[in-house]
Amino acid sequence: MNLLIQGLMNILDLQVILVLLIGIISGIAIGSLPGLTATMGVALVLPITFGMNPITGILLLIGVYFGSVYGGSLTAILINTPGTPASAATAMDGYEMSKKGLAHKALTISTLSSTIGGILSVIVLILVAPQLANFALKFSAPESFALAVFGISIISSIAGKSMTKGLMAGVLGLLVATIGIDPMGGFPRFTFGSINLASGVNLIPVMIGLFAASEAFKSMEDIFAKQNLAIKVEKVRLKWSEFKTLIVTIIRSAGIGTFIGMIPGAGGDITSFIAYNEAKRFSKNKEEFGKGAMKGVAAPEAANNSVTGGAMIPLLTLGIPGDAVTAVLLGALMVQGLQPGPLLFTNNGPIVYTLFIGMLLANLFILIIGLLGIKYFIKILSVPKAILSPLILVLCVVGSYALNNNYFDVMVMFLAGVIGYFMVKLEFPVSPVILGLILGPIMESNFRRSLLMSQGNLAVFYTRPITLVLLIFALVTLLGPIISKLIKISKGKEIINENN
Amino acid sequence: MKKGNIIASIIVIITSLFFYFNTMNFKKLDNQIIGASFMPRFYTTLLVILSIILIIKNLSGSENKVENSKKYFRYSIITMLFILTYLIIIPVVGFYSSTILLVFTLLYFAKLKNKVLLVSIPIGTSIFIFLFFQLALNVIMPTGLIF
Repeated sequence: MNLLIQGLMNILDLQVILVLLIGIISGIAIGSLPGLTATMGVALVLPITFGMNPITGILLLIGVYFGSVYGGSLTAILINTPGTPASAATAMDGYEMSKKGLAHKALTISTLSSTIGGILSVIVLILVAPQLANFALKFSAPESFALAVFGISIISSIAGKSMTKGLMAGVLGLLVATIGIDPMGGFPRFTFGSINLASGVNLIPVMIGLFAASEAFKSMEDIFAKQNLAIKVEKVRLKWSEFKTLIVTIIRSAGIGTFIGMIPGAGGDITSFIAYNEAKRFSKNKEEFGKGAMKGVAAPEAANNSVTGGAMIPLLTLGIPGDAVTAVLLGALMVQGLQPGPLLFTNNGPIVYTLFIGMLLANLFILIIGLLGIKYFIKILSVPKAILSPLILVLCVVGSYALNNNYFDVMVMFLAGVIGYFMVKLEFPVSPVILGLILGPIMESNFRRSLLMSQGNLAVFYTRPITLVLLIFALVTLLGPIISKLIKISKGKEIINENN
Repeated sequence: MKKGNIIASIIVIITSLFFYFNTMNFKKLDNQIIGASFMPRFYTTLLVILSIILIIKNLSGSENKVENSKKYFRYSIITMLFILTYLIIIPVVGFYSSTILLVFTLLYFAKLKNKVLLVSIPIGTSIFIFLFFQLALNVIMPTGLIF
């Protein structure tokens, strides 16, 4: 407790607070632009922090990190352009809400869920970090494989109208993910001699193409058809009674996010999909999902922000980064002379607790900036499509180029945009493709690693308790919606037969 | 759009078969239990099965029909061609000049009448990209042979 108070004293310094604020605001800007991810933002700011003292420097990075995770959802909700892969799940219901004129409400839900998720995960980090870290270490290849399978099984519940199309889209994503150097043997697969394909198809340009470019192509059509020209913004605010119905979803999603965030290698991108799926599973009105359900926004938002606290757990307690962003943060901590690991808490107690307080504060700032900013963020919707669509297309090009300064990524984005356009036209859902691309490599490499571990014995997948439980979850998740649909169809036929 | 679904399925089947036959060249190391070709073959087989299901569903009429007007379809295609041309000319005339050209063309194509906006938006976009991406984030946009 003394350490927490000491941490609070360290934070209450105008300079520190200012730096944190700057970090968050630039993070939100970076996150909201397609192609600029949290990892990139943190990596870009990293060199600036070298000259700062440890607390200010790390808090600046944390500000950028937290801000960009939040910022990614703003554009996902407003213009169906997820700024980061973690907000791809938010676009599914968030953009639907915007189309109905409920952008203000959607952004309020997103801001509240994000900050509550973020704060809960930091509290978990403060209270039980060391105990949880040990549990996360139990995750070896078979467990990670099972988690990835569980993630992929969600395809069937985000498939939308046609299960066949949803599954096709998902498997297509998985197949595209196999392009590049084989993760285990090093054999180049489907690279056709191209160096650019050797490292695989990059997820972000595909995501920008599938979501943003395809939507921009489609809205050029709307301009001529004089349809859906402007998205109305109705003055509908989030009511307290509505918020109350979301609390359980937010807490559950924050738990999922924190937990998956702390598993090294799982990455935060799947958590938002898993949280979305669980929200749908627990919901009484499942058919609302995909059509602008409030819970469909709250769940992924709470989850992707709670990953931030979760990912800090193995980083600070064991020195293991859970994802790319925390790997950059690990570097930053070491540059500042802080060695993450079990000794960090004893050697640098005051600094660690200052960071904790800083993270809580960062989430509070996001809440304030988010709620104050909503009325300005929504202004983007009043820009006529004739102007917005060309600008989005240029940003798609710049964003996919900025990622690696590689022109090939731009071509990938364009191709994905064209394919995405036809998918949308033919009512193939695009989110499963992203899910497949994110999870394919994790699933395959851990599957093969598990088999190597067990020397080819499949028992490795059903004798380990965590693996078994996750795989059973996956089976239920995958087959549940398919079976219930089949039951509905057969019932429907019976009714028709009876009527005849 | 029954036809569209069937064409899409056929394209997916052809692509899958192409990928599947490509896996024949994959080498398997001796110490590997399953090789590089296992997962791709599994995925392509699944895709072919799913595509066939989709075709059957469409022919039997049990798949939901997709309502879409084809009338304005060509405007999206023209936009795609504009972007394609843009991507081809960037390495020649440089990023900034092609961007000004593209944004202007698209705005004009989208029937934007306001002359001030027609000129200021393309230039403003380039300046924003220069300031934010090139100066602040250090992303060097490609220069062309001419500029």
